[in-house]
Amino acid sequence: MPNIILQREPLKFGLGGWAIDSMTQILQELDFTGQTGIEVEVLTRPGAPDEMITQMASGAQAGNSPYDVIDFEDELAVTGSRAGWYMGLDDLLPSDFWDDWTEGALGVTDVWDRYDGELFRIHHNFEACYWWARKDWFDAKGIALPTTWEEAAALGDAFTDADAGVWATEDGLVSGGFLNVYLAVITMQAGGNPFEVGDEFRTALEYVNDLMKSKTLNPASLQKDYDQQNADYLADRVAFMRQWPFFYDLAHGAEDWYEEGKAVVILPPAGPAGAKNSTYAAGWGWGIPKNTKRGDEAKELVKWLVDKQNAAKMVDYSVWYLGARNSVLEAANGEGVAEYLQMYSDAGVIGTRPFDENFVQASSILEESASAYLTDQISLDDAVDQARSRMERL
Amino acid sequence: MTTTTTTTRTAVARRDRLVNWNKVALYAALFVFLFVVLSPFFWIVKSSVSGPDELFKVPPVYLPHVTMENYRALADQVPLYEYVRNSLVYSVSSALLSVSVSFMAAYAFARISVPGRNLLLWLFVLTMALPEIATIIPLYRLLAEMKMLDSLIGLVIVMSSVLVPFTVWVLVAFIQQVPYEIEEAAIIDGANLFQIFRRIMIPLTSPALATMLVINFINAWNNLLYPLAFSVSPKSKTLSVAITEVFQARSPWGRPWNMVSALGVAMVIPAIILVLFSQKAIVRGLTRGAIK
Repeated sequence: MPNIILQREPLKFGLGGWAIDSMTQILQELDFTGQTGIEVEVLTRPGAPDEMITQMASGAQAGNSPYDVIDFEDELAVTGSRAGWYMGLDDLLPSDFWDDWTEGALGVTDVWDRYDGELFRIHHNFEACYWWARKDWFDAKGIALPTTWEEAAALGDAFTDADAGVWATEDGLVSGGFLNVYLAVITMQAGGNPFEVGDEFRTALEYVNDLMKSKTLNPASLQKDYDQQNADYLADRVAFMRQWPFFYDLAHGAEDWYEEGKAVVILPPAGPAGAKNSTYAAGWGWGIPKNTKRGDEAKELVKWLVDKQNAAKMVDYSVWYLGARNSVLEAANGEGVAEYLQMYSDAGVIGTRPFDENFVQASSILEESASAYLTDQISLDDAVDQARSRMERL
Repeated sequence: MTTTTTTTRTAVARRDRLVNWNKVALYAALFVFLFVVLSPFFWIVKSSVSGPDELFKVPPVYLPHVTMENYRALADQVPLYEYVRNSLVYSVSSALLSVSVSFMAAYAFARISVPGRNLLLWLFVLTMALPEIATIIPLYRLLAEMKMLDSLIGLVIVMSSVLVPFTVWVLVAFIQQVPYEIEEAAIIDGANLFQIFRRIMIPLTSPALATMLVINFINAWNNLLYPLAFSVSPKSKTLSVAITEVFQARSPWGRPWNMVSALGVAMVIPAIILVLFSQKAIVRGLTRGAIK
């Protein structure tokens, strides 16, 4: 039974703009205020981590907080937890709380949502990188969908027509966060963590370079972001690609273009480490800034949001609340992106996102070295040595 | 005689050709300049009326199928009316407050002779060297203490305080160019300080005041950091903050450049209108002092 708390001002709840409508509806229709007496003002937080960090940092440093509860991403999780911005959440949760979570989600929680043993964020979604393929193209050519690195690398010959701007595969690899995501996935497929700059990182770089040299991966990917990559896919210029779940909405929204078979999800092509942990899920989660003046009410809200019944109902309102909890997956009933999450979870291909204590700086180091190598400015040895020595100095 | 006439004609023809070439070079330079200045603006306007599928086409689409869908989607995503209203209140108030305060401070610096006046003015101006980000935390504390976080009044006070040093610096030079004898004559005729301001100083320095009003308005209008750091709700957020809030589909991935462009156009229009209407005053203010 939640505590009934009387208050004057509404609790400030900061979410990305894409989640405002659904959360407003959830709070109203599931009657949070009626159950707890707590009024909530749903506010739009800046969408990108840099701007959110600017906003949060000034408040935190001044002993204040712009929000009482926030929804936040991995970048803010690392920065904020190390800076001591967030309140511990362990005492909010019932003892059987984690029994509802899948193994993959528990692994992510341990790495990304705990600091010094204390839980500071509770994931509400679990967004894996998926591989989307033009099954109609593969069928027309009588080629099997790729299941391994080697099969994927061989597709350049079958699909790439550089003069026509058509490529077997393409990615959004522009430096500044995009390339780092890809490096992490490919290094995981090689069996390692890119931030350790081991042999697996070298193998991953070499493979990406081979994909470009064999005209399988469009080299212009290094100048593209996800929007450009998606636009190319929707312009019939890409046979298969890695992309986040938001492509599902884009593809289905392109009414003139969309047909069954144009964007089917396949399992990631397995690298030397095998299929297990061959992609990762990024995620957002709820947290409470330590400097909020409304800690008790904020805890009530978070408790309510992560409650098993409420979390399962929330997925009906938006795929944004599609977390890797058994109750949530059951409620999603395999519809839309849930089907792919279930497929990837069942295949055990979702691993934990590679982590580093200095995530943002470390990501920049890897991107700079990889970018220099992939654009033929330095050798593979130099790229690995450079990344390793800079990581050691970090 | 004939030789002299022919020589003169040749010289005139040469001069005409030179003048023509100078004109060609001038127009070519002007064309290049206009191209450099206007092409980003053309691109942003074009993107604002393009569908998302036309943004990244290769080869690029220079004349898209015009759609106002981006503006409609933008209005659905962010409370556009509130943000425009807040931006106007924030920018107009900051410009008026900063110029009013600066005018009086500049008058004091220009007219009142106290030891260390120049040093004081330089110290004042030196505050401009402080990066905005370095002042955020103390300003946040200050506004929190004054219960002015997430309020337009707080934002206006902060922005005005940032604009004042440069405005004072500019206005001091203008006020110093107004001969003090005019004020002395007015004082002999019985004018008080308020009347001197109203009847003499403001009219004589109006080009500078107008220029600073426009410059300060544009600075406040474009300012992102303070509204981003000090505002969280639509009651005080401005249009510049809206750029950090527009999104694509139902997730944080990707940037909706078509909507960001639409917002860019919406932001730049008031500034263009203001500059067009106050063009004469700005040119006067930038090219001459009050009187000589």
